[in-house]
Amino acid sequence: MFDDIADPDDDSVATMEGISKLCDHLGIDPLEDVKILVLLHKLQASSKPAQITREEWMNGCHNLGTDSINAFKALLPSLELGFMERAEFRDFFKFCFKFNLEGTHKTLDKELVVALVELTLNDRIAKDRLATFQEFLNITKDTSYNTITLDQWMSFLDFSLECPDLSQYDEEISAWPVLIDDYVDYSNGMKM
Amino acid sequence: MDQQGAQTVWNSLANAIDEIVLRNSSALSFEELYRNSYNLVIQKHGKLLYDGVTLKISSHLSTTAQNLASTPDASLLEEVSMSFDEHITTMSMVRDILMYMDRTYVETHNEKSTFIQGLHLYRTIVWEHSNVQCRVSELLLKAIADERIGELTDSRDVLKKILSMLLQIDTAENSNVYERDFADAFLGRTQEFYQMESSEFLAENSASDYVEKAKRRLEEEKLRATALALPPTTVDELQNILHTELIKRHAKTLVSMENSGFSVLLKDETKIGAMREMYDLFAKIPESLDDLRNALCDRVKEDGNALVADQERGVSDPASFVQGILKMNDRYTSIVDFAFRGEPKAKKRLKESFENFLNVDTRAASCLAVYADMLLRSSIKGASEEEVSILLNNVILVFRFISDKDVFEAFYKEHLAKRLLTGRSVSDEVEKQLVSLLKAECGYQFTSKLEGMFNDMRISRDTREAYKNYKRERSVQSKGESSVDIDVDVLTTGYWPNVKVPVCKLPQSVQSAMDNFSDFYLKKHTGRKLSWQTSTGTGEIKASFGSNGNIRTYNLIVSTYQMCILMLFNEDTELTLRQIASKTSIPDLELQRHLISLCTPKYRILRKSSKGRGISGDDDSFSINDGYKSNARRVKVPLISMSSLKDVVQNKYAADPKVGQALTSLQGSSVETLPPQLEEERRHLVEAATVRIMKARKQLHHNDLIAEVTKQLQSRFVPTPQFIKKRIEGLIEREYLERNEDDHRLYMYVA
Repeated sequence: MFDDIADPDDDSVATMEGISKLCDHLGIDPLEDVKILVLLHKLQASSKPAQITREEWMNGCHNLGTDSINAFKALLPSLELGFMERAEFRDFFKFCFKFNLEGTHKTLDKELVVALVELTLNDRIAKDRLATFQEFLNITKDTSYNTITLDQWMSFLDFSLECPDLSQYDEEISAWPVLIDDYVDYSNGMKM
Repeated sequence: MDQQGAQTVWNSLANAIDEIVLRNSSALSFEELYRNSYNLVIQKHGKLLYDGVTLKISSHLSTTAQNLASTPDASLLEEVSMSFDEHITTMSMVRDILMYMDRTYVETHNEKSTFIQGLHLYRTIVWEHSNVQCRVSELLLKAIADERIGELTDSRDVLKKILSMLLQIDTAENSNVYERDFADAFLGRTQEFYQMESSEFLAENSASDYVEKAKRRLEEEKLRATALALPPTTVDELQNILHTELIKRHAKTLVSMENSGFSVLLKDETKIGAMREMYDLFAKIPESLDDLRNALCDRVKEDGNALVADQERGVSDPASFVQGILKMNDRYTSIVDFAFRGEPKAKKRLKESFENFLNVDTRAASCLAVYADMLLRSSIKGASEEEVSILLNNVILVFRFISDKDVFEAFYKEHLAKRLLTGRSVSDEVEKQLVSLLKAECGYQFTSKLEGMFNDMRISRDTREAYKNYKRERSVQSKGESSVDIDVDVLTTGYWPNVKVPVCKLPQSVQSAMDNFSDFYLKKHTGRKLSWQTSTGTGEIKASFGSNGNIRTYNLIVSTYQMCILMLFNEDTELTLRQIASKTSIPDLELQRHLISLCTPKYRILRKSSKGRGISGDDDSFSINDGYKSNARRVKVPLISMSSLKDVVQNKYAADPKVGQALTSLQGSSVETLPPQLEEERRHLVEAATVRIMKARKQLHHNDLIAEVTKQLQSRFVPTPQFIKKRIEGLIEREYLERNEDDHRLYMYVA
């Protein structure tokens, strides 16, 4: 199976092209469906962004018990995010960030982040929280937010889960990244 | 003993009691009476005895009660007091007689002992008689009320006696008459009285008069309480009521009252005594002192803001601003020392108030540096050692309030550099004195660079000596080297303010002198690099004006740039701005400044082709003014000020943004924003402190980390928690730290 998706120049890895092919086989749209990311996460494709190595594939398939495309297809329903427990989702969320990094960069462009949070957090956090956050990122003129760090990424998730109510938020003592403080300002400002 | 016998014995005892009551006891034999009662008890007739005594006393007391009930008000108190005294005397004697009964029968039958029974009966029969208690209570209260309104009353002695009677009864039989029949009403009436009096008085009188009256009332009540021997619980409650009604209720009014409130008093230095009176009164209710402290802080804030506003508008110059602060400090410190009796809380609030209005922006830092500069340039001339000490300590005083101490250091350094390089400071000693005072405040780190600057000057002097000797030796060896004399100050780059200006093109003779010096210096200190600062420095030029017959020669003392400019005219009679710029490589704006300074009416050494004060453009041309005259042989040509330059240049180059930018940077940093190198330095300091702390502690909660970092840096500047947080995020990104997975407020050091 791996040979089918392996990179023509280096058959020890499958890159985004190969992964895209896999999606075709499985009948899912990589841009719209988060399941491919979930799958890659479960296969533990964590060594480098945007690829999965042969070894990771072999081990992953072995662990999941998938020996054919049909087996993968059968697995698809279980890849719904709703089935993940909090801790596992957190790991997955971290994986998403790291997997989407470009080359040696350590941060993600904000446009990508806006898209990724839509994909991953859609049913995990309150809809208005998600929407206002995306809005905030799109609107903010602060250039330091043109890229988002892993810390900011993870903090947004933790923050959304821990602080559903923003009325009690106290910026003075907040230990969340400044991005979150600015987001809360924005969000509260809108409500006024 | 049988019943009848007992009865007989009892009768004789009963008669004895009658006699005692009548004060005819001398005829009685104590022994006999004691024996009789003893026998009755022993013979199991205790009950007969006890009941008999009860009845007998009761009957006497009934009579007493009747008498008192019909006694008129005027003498009732005295009569009651006397009757009680009598009763006590009676009961003491009766008790003595019945001692055996008290020890035996009373105990086993759970009855009140004789004396206590006596008090009990007095209470129930006499005191609680419908026509006694009410009237007495009312008379007591009225006496006190009368005293309060200044009417003469009977002696307090009888009041005291009656109150002590009630207390004694309560103690004996655990009753409640003192409270029920006096204290409750007393406290209630007291509260009503003072509530009304204080409000009425305050409505008609000034705050200070009120304070005076309140004090007198408090004194008066205290004396009365002692005179009446009121028990501690009553005294405490009385005090509470007085403090509440007289002070607490009116605290805010006393502070904010028009014309005489504490806030108003604060404006008037002569009213410091009245302030203290008010303080002493408020001190009785510690929480209300906050009202006074708040008023003080508001006052300081208002004054402070006015001072800042004046400075902002340009009404007052930096020196006046600083002197204004010193004056304010004197004033309010003496208010705190005297009116607030030097209490620590007020001192603290005062300090905070100063810090608040002074640190809204970096104005205080820059003004203080200018003020210090002024002192060290001129003000301390002729001042005695003591006066100098005071002036310097004043600088430190204001310095302490400033939280952006690094901004002050930056400004101070600039001024110091100018003073040292132009030889303008009045006294080296005093300069060093101030630096060591700053060191004492902030530690070695703060002043190490300043001290480095002094060192450089000292070493430069030695170097110059050495160079002179070196030149002498060399000119003996090789004659004909035409170079000029130069005096060089060698400055260590890290210590002095940063001036990154490229070197301009210098006259050959000057250049070769510089090269000679460089050779000499670098031979002595291999590995060092010298960069010549042509934007500073002066030169002395011998210039001849006029033509045959009337040649005037002067020694012109000019800036380095001006020297370069003037020397050009040895080759060409007329030069345009463009040509001068390209031949000298002097930066544009500075070129204009130095050129214009050579064409001013007073120092018209050059003639400018355009009219007006400014330079018209690149094609404006200049030539030597042959007609230049001066009275003095040596002429020191001054540079026009930055503000003058700004005026002149804006006319011509107003549209050019680069010019505007250059002007701003020449003038030095504006008050609102931080100089960029300081911003960077602060970032660096916070990061270094954060890493240091985390390395030592391995893991730390957010609040603790913020607190630690702030503590470590506050002698230099006060970082905001947000600022520190941003740096922490940076460190997380660069993997020096990480956030704990389970607790986002916990940071961990990454080894």
